[in-house]
Order: sequence, then C-alpha cells, then structure tokens
Amino acid sequence: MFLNMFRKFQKLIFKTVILAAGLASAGFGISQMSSNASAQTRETYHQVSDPKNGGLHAHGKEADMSKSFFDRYAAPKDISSTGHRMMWLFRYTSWVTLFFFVLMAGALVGFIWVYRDRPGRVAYYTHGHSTTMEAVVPKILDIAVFVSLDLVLIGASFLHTGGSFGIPYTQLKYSIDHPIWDFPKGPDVVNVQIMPQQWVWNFRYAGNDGVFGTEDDITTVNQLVVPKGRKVMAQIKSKDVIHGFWMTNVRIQMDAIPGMVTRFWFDTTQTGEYEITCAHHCGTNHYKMKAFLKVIEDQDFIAWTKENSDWAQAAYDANDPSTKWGWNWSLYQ
Amino acid sequence: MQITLSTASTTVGRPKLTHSQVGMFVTMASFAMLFGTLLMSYLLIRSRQVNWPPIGVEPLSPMMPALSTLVLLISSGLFHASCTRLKTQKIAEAKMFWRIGTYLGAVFMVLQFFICWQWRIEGLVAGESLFASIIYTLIGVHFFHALASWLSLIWVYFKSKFWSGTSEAPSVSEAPLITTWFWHFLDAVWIVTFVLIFVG
Amino acid sequence: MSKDQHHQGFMDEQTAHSHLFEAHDEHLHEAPKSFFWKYIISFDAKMIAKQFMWFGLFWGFIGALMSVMIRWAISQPGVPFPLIGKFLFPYTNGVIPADWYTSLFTMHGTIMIFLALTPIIIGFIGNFSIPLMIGARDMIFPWLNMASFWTGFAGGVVILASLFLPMGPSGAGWTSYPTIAHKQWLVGPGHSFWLVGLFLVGFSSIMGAINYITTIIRLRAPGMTWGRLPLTIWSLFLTSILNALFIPVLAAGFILLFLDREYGTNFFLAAAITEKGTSGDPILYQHLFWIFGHPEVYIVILPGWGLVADLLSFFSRKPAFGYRGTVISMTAITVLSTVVYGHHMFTTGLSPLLTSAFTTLTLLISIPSGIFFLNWLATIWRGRIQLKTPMIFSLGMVFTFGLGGLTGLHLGAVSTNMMLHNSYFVVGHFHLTMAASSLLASYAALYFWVPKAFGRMMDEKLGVAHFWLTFTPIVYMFCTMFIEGYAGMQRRIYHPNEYNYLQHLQGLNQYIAIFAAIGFFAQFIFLYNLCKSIKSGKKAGNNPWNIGTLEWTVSSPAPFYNFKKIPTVFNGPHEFSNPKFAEKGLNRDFIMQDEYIEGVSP
Ligand code: HEA
Ligand code: HEA
Ligand code: CUA
Ligand SMILES: [Cu+2]
Repeated sequence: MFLNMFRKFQKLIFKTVILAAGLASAGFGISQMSSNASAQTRETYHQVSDPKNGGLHAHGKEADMSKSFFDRYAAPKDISSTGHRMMWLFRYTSWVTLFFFVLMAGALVGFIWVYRDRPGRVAYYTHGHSTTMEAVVPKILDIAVFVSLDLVLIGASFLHTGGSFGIPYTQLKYSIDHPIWDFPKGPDVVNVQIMPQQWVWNFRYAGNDGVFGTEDDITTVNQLVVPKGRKVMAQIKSKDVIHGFWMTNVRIQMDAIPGMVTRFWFDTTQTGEYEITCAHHCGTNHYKMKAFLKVIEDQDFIAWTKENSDWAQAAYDANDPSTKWGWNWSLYQ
Repeated sequence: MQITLSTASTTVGRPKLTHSQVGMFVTMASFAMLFGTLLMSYLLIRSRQVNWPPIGVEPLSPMMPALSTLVLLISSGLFHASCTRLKTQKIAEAKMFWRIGTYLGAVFMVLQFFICWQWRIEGLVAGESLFASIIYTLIGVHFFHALASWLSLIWVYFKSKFWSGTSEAPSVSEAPLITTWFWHFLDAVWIVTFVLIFVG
Repeated sequence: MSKDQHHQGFMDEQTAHSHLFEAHDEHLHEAPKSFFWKYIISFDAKMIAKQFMWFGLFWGFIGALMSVMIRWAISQPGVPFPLIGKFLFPYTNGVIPADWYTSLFTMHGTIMIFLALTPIIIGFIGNFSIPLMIGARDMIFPWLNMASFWTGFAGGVVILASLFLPMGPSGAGWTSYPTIAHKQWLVGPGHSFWLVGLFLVGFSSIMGAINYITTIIRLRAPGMTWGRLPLTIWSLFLTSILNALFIPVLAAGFILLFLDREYGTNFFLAAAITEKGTSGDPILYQHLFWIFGHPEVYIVILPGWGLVADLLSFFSRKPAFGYRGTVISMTAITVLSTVVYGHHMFTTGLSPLLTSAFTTLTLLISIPSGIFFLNWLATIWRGRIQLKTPMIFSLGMVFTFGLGGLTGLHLGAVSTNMMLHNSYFVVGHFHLTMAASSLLASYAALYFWVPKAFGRMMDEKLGVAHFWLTFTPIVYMFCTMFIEGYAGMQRRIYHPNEYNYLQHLQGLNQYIAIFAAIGFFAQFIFLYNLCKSIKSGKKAGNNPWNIGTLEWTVSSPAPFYNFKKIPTVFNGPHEFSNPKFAEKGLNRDFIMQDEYIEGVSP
C-alpha cells in the first residue's frame, strides 16, 4: 500500500517538476518582455492594490528594455556631491570581487572537470604543509585579495566618513573635503529637524529668525524642500518606533531613533522631486511611508522660506499641539 | 550488559577534572555571560542617567542586602566544608554541613524576597522608574537561578547514592561537588551585583 | 618530542581522569525496547539526531512555504494566494494582507534560522557525528541531550502556537528591534510568544553546546588527538563555544524586552514615549542583539564549513589541504566574530571612530575566510573527484559561499553600507551565505549520513535532480536580489510598487517568485527520496563511501552503543591515495583511522 502511495507521489513529483520548469521559462519570458501596460499613476495603483477591490493584478512599470542591462537596473540617479565616492567604491568592490569570484569559480569548475573520477586517475597525495610551494600560492592569492579589496575599502571608508582613529581628520594626508561625519555649520547651511512617526515624515525649519522652537518655524509633512547646491544639516529623531531616513538619490541613510538625536548632512546638485523612503521596518504601513525631496533653486528656496515662515507666524495657534515638536538645535550641534 | 561511556580503561594518573566538572565549567561560563550582560546593561543604563537614583527616590539602604550577602557567603562556605568532609569520607559531618547550608540558602532567598517586598511597600515599583526596574530585574534573575540551584542541592541531598562512596571510589562526590560549584558561582555573581548596586 | 612520545602523552591524558569515571556506577543500559523510550524520550544521540532532523525538516517546509508567500505578496500584489490563500486569509478573500506580510517575513526568518537550520546543522550533524566520529559510545550527558531536544521542541510548540493567535504572530522582524517590538506598537501576545519560544530554543542550544564541548574534550577515543579530529568535529566544537557564550547575551536581551512588554518596564523605551522620567535606550537592545547576532550567523555556517572541508577531501580521495590552516582560520573567525557586530549598526549614528574600527575588523575576517576557502579549492585540485550527491552539494556550497562571502565586503565597508543597508542587497547576501551555503551543507550532511543513520542509500538520480532544482533557483534568486538592492529596493516592504523608482523592478520580482516556487517544490523530491530510501533504498554496507573516519567502521545503521570496543586511533581523518598503500599491499586508496599500518601510520 505504501509502495503504491509512493509511486503515485513520485508521479506527482515529476509532474510538479515539469510544471515548475515550464513556469520558470514562462516567468523568464514575462520578466524579459517589455510591455506598454506601464505608467500607472499612483492613484490607480492604489485602487488596484486594495485587497477589497477584488484581486486585480497590479503590475509595476516594465523595465525599459531599450537600455543596456546595467542602465536598466542602475542605482537611482545620484544628485549629491558626495555620492560619487560611494558609487566609485561600490563599483570598485564589485569589479574586484567579480574578478576574484570568476577566478575562483573558474578554478572550481575547472578542477571538477579536469580531475573528475575516471579510469586511471590517481589523486595526488599531499597535506599541503606550509613549507611546500603549492601551499604558498593560496596565501599569496589571499594577500592579493586583502590588499586589492580590503585595504582599499578600509582606506576609502575612512576617508569618506572621516573616521581616523582619533587622529584629527584634517591632518590626514589624503583627507577629502567633506567626509560624511564632518558636519557643516554656518549661515549658509540649511538646518532641518526631522521627526518621523508611524507612518509620516515631519520636517521642521527654523524659519525667518533662524531659531528652532519659535512661532515662525516652518513645519511640513512628507515634503523636504532644499535649495540646490547648499549644504543641508539634519537632526533626526523618531517619535515612536525606529524609522530609517533614506534618500536613495543622495546615497544617505540614517536611522531615526526615539529618544536619541542622530545627525547627517547632504547637498544636492540637481533640482527636481525625488522619493525618500523609510528603510527600517516600522509596522504595517512601513512599505508606504514615503516622503518627497524637493530640490529647488536657491532663490526660490529663500522665497519659499520667507513665505512659509510668515504664514506660520500668522497662523500660529498656541493650542494646536501638532506643530509643537522639536528640540533645541544647539544641544546636538 | 554494562558498558561505560569512558574511553580508556586502565591505570591511575594525575588527578584531573571529571567529565561533569568540565561540563559545569562550560555551564558557568555560559551563565556568566548572561549575568555579565545584565550587569553591563545596568551600568550602561545607569551611566545614561543624570540622577541615580532618580529624584524622589531614596538611595537604597545596603544593610539588609548586606545581611543576605553574608548569609549566602556562609552557606557557600558550609557547602565547601561539606565537600571537603565528603572527600575524606566523613559522611555524617558532610551531610550536616550540607543541611545547614541548604537552610541558609533558604534564608537567603527569603531575605531577598523580603527586601524586595519592603521596597515595594515603600513605593519602589518596578516599571515606574528604570532604577526600580533594573534593580528588581537583577535581583529577580539571580533569585530564580538561586532557586533552581537550591532545588538541585536538595535533590543531591536526598539522592543517597551520592553519599555512600568509599575511599577507593571518591568520585561519588562528583554530583555534590558540581552542584555546589554552581551555588558558589551564584554567590560570586551576587557579590558583584551587590557591589554594583549598593556600593559602587 | 617524537610522534611516539606524543602519542604516549596523549594516552596518559586520556586515562588520567578515567578512574574517576570508571568507578561511577552510572552505566548505560540496554537498548530500550518500548516505543516510548526508543523514539520519544530517547537518550541515544543517534536517535536524538533523527528527532532533530525531522523537527528541522518540518519547520523547513513551513519556513519555505512562508518564503513563497512572501514572494507572492511582492510580485502579485492584490492577487489571492493560490490554493490555501482563501483558508488563511478569508477576510481579504485570499490576498495576503500587509500586516500579515510583516508576520510572514518575521516568522520566515525566525523559523528558518532557529527551527530549521539550527536543528539540522547543529542538532542533527552534532548528535550524529560527534560520538561516532570521535569514537565514543554516546554523548557525555545523554540526559542533557534528551532535555535539549525536548526543550527545543517546546520552543517550537510555542512558536507554532503563536501562528494561530487571534492577532497573529510576531511582526517585528527576526531582529525584533524595539521599539516596534513593544506592546504599544505590536499589540497582541504574538511577540511575547515569540520571545518565550526563542528563549526555550536558545536554552536548548546552550544545553546542546555544553554537551558537545564536554564530549569533544573528554570522550575522544585513545589516539584521537586534536590534530586527528575530522574538521566537522572541529567546527562543531567552535560553534558550540559560540553557542554557549553568546546565546546567554541574547537571553538577557530577551528577558529585558519581555519585561518591557509584559510588565511595563522601560529598558528600551525613551522617556519621551513613556513619560516616566528616566529614559531607556532602544539602541542597547541592538547592541545586545548583534553581540549575539553576528556570532549566530557563524554558528549556523561553521559546521557547514567543517563538513564541506571533510567532504571535499573524502570525495576527492585526497587529504584535506592545509588541515592546520583550516583549523586555525576557523578558530580565528570564531574569535573575530565576537568583535565585528557593529557592522549591523552603521546607520545608528555610531561615532566615526567606532564605525571605522568595525569596518576594519569586519574586513579582517575575509583573510581567514580566504585561507580556508582556498584550502577547499586546493583540496580538490589534482584529486580524483567522485561526484556523489554529498559531494555535489558541497561543491555547490563552495560556489554560493564565495558569492555570499564576497558581497559581505560591500556591506562591511561603512561607506558603501550607507547606501546598501536595509536593502535587498543585504537580503541577497545573507541568503547566499545562510539560505544557500548552510542549507546546501545541511543537505550534504543528510545525503552523507543517511546511509549510516538508516542503513540505506539515498537515490543518486533524485539527489542530483534535487541539487539542480535547488541550486539553480537559489543562485538566480539571490543574485537578482543584489540587482534590486543596488537599484534601491528596501527590504521588508510589502509592495515595492508603492515607489515610482522601484516599479521597473517588478519583472525581476516576478522572476524571483517563480524560482522561489521551483525551489520550494524541489524540496519534495528530497522528502520523497528520503522516505523512499529509508523504506526501501539500497542497503548500505558498513562503508559505502570508502572513507576512513570512525563512523564507517561500524555497521549501518550504527548499533546502539556505536562501538563494541572503543577504537584506538592511529591516523588522521583524511588518509587517501597515499602512494605507500600499494607498497603495503593494500588494494584500496584509503585507510581507516583505527587501522595501524606499519610505515604509513605516523
Ligand atoms: C551564514 C551566515 C553569514 C555569513 C557566513 C556571513 C558572512 C559575512 N557577512 Fe553577513 N550577514 C548575515 C549572515 C552571514 N554573513 C545575515 C543573516 C545578515 C543580516 C541580518 C539582518 O539584518 O537581518 C548579514 C548582514 C551583514 C552585514 C550588515 C548589512 C546591513 O544590514 O547593512 C554585514 C556588514 O558588514 C555583513 C558582512 C559579512 C562579512 C564581511 C562576512 C564574511 O565572513 C565573509 C567572508 C567570506 C569571504 C570574503 C569569501 C570567501 C573568500 C574568498 C572567496 C577568497 C577570495 C578568492 C580568491 C582569492 C580566488 N553581513
Ligand atoms: C536559513 C535561513 C533562510 C532560508 C533557507 C531562506 C529561504 C528563502 N528565503 Fe528568506 N529570510 C531569512 C532566512 C532564510 N530564508 C531571514 C533571516 C530573513 C530576514 C527576515 C527579516 O527581515 O526579519 C529572510 C527574508 C526573506 C525575504 C525578505 C523579506 C523582506 O524583507 O520583505 C525574502 C524575499 O524574497 C526571502 C525569500 C526566501 C526564499 C525565496 C527562500 C527560498 O530559498 C525558499 C525555497 C526553499 C528552499 C531552498 C529549501 C527550504 C528548506 C527545507 C524545505 C528544509 C530544511 C532543510 C534543511 C535546512 C536541510 N527571505
Ligand atoms: Cu518608517 Cu519604516
Ligand atoms: Cu554580521
């Protein structure tokens, strides 16, 4: 009886396998097909994805197949003045690891083929003791990896972040202008306080008087407006759970933690509207906790600040708690 | 069929740790990490506060805890004495020390409980301030380990096979030895905890 | 010291303590006859190994099913999950809801790591191989061993129960970061169940670790010096050390978090939230978690490394290349793994000093990793490679570990980590190391030892089919995840389409989903193969693979007491293809570890 069951089971298995293989090729087809069922607006997308709306199929946009593979799945456009260092390091790491990986995989596959068991093949007897020549080769390779990869990564990371084991960063021979932990200060710098909560982003600007916590503070929701080319210094703290402030286009990610202020700075080189995402799992709607980064020209920004600060001053309502958040900027400078 | 786990079968050699003792060392290392982590957390939490104890909370008096520390120390000593008696096969004496040690262990736990109860009555409520929470947690986690260790000591006491060894086969003292080791270990943990909470 | 003296010294050490144990009147009893004592409350390491195996497989299937549901939710937004969707989510007509999605990835990660992989790669491999490979009759503390399994089982039951809670299981991610893990934001008892369940599972691992460490130190057969231990045993030893030392750290974190949730303490809650005056610290939990968490990822791969190092040698009919180097580098990684944990917290505002220190330490790990990795390659170099199923899985593991390990470097550098943290790049990295490497190594172990455990061979053809239908999907899936991560897709999101800049990735997402389904269904081949082989596979002789380690000296399935007479060991574990064998008139290319051959054995 068991045997029979097993036989049936066996058939079933093989059917599933065939089915799965079919599905695979189909899927490959789908994923590679370019289609014009693209460009859904946000609104329709929401309708479609609403479970109660009956299981409609919501496609994303299809990838633009006219582009090369690398361009098609490139990282989001870099609009910062610092991101290129990260991109360089990423590419460098990728190419070097790829090189070693190919070397290694080549050796693996090559050995499997060349030394496969066949009549007459005798294995070479060695324990690879450290004195022998053959034992030196792996070590050399390993050192090559270390020098070409790890040392570069470490060095570049130091330069990039300004981490320098206690040596004043500016005294390092190869220090670069703006490591990410070298926080800018001064009248030219735009200061922003960011306080996410489930599941919106609150932003706060000091307003006309340049002081946080006054009546003319500008507060925005889900929209970060910054002037192109100027440095932006942000202090960030969460209201409830941990969120992750991630501007993919600026290559900056910083956690927002309740009860603790974290800081970062960035600047932008191109105007436009970009998406800001939440990187840390923060509950059911984490997936749509999204804000927009609006980069505008400097003079527009000055006008924007003036207008909104005046408006905030006028509309100030001492009894409205919703805008009364924030902290003393200078405490965390 | 009687087969032992052991490997080689002959001769004498240098006295060494028994298997169970090795196991107990590993166990203690493991639990040391547990208490170590809790104590580190305590220190970290404490270092982040401006006022410790927080404003409105009286500093805790170390008197009663000092007493319970003393009781614990004495019981540890008694267990040690019991084990040395056991090695020289003075079974009756060993059992007596063991018994008193167990009583004192019970006294220690009652004292701990009483101390916490007293604090509670005086208004130090876990959950109301970090100060209270972390101190109750440290004492509580230690308390439950002490309880488990104490139960194992009682169990050993009533297992007569551990107490009927001969001088040719002193290894029968293995179970008493390692259970007291864990008690000594908890003793040490408590002393560190005591110092960190009430003295340091 | 000559080899002889060395040997003599070792014998002394072995016998020195034995008088203490000999006199112990605790003897093993005859093999239990009744079902209950034989299969349920078993004290026999081999039976406990099998219990762990079934336990792990059961959970593996649940975890894998969850991963398929994850992929479905991402790639088919708004479409009901086929077949079982309507039963599971009747209130949304079968569509996986967003809150359940959080529970799915949480439970998928938890189950896969703690309830599927750990029981197999440590519970099964450890219990099965340690006594047999070192020449012992059983684990040193059989009772503790039994307790370890049943504590783990109880933990599993708690986790299983949490799946059926009215408000659903935990949804805080397998990392369970506060403050999302607090009651205020994760209402319902699910997460407390999760904490209790994992606490039990962790306790089970600690008990196992104590047992493994003591057994390996104490019960090695005469002559089984540290230098003659199979590498599997070495790696299990190191894993157990990490287990014994770092699970308690997690336990402490869990205790504090549990108190936070159930008793309103605020260890991990900031003052602004609780309005209780003194302020707890959510980052403290992250420190505690990752002090444990990083060693944990090596805990689940170390046995795989050791096992693969052994299997590559066994099936290349060639001694393991650089045995000593492999051991030293595994030990170095064990030590280093305790001081690199900060690389999971680069974006929490650690000081530049700390981040650079952690970057450096993290990248240092690649040196020892490279050493044993290249030793693996050198082992198969000029060997006589027999592509039996365990070997195929081992070779697959080498491939995926290379990929997964090298991408760890992108993440290890704080600079690039700023851009890749919390993206699918991380997901790709840890699936290639864990879900591919550890998984393939576990399968290699199963294929390798099932003949010894059950006395029957597994089917080679089905094994190969299983390999390709598992290996291909996992490599495709997880490498595609690197592309997505690079393109900026965050992990743990329900609908990537929510973001405009992620919409063009939908094709890739569907592509992954299809391979996930194939990978999932392919596991049934294994299950079928396993059940069939146990019932009616070809009978395995004592030594079907022609290998010299001690477990192959006894009959298959291994007898209750493993060894009638405790063997005396003379040779290393990998004595293959020594040209001297022919001179000695041996017509085989291996010798057993307990075989003394004049002029060949050291
Ligand atoms: C088995 C599990 C496993 C293993 C082995 C590793 C190995 C490594 N991991 Fe991974 N890691 C995880 C499991 C694992 N990891 C998990 C689960 C997470 C995510 C947790 C979460 O957030 O949910 C994670 C996350 C993670 C992060 C955090 C990412 C983030 O959240 O931002 C980082 C960062 O440094 C990292 C780094 C590394 C490094 C440097 C190694 C190194 O050990 C790798 C060393 C190996 C090699 C370098 C390759 C082998 C060497 C060669 C191929 C030699 C060269 C070749 C030739 C000369 C030919 N890992
Ligand atoms: C060992 C661990 C393991 C394994 C095997 C897997 C297997 C898979 N995982 Fe998983 N995964 C994790 C550990 C693992 N994962 C962790 C830790 C997370 C993070 C969770 C979090 O964010 O909190 C995660 C998260 C995660 C995500 C991200 C979710 C998100 O961030 O939104 C995705 C998405 O695609 C995914 C997919 C898959 C797929 C398609 C497989 C496929 O490989 C599944 C196909 C099945 C198999 C290949 C075999 C399964 C095994 C058995 C049936 C038997 C078991 C037997 C042995 C172990 C020998 N996983
Ligand atoms: Cu906020 Cu995720
Ligand atoms: Cu890590």
